Amino acid sequence: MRAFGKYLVTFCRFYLGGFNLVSGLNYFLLFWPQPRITESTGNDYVIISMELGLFQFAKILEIVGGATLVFNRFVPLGLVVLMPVTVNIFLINAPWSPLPHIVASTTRNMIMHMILLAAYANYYYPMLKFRSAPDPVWRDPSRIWKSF
Amino acid sequence: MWTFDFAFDGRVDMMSVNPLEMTNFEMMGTIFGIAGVLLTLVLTRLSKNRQRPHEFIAHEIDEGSSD
Repeated sequence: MRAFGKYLVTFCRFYLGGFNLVSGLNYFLLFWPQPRITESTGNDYVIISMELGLFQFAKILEIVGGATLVFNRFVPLGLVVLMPVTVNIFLINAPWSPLPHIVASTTRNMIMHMILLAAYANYYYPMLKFRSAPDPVWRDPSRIWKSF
Repeated sequence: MWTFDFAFDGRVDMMSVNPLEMTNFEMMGTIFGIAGVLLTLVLTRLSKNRQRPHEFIAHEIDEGSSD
């Protein structure tokens, strides 16, 4: 059971990483045609985000986050970076898309992201401090590279 | 209405929820996922061999000898 969990997490990490990395790279390199936008309620959001440049920013996040997951470096950070992208894609498509395949795909990605966040939960427990005191980075910037 | 159809026709049936009907990105994710699991299996197997407990073989030495 433990081994199954380990390989499930590994599969989810590589799947989500590969998916996002290729999706992000494809936007800039265009080795496949970009997916067509279908008629749905979430359409306007996608079009506006493209006009505002948010879509391009999301694609950069996909490349960075996807690379962290594929190469197994800074995975907890990569999951946090990718979270807004996964949540937005899920919220735009899952309730509104008329295409069941898109609904299934975005839901699957969301579930995999949740599994990975749960699997790396030990890195997020410190965020659950009920009372917290600031310890600014400018007091000791060397802590950044020391934590590598 | 959703279906569970699957066909090797080079196209993605967007009405199908069959996981074998994959877009390019899903296909890449699946290839990365399966390759990653296989790589992890191989690396785990190799590291298990390296971590085999050291076998101590006792043999008498002559304390009086120079070497």
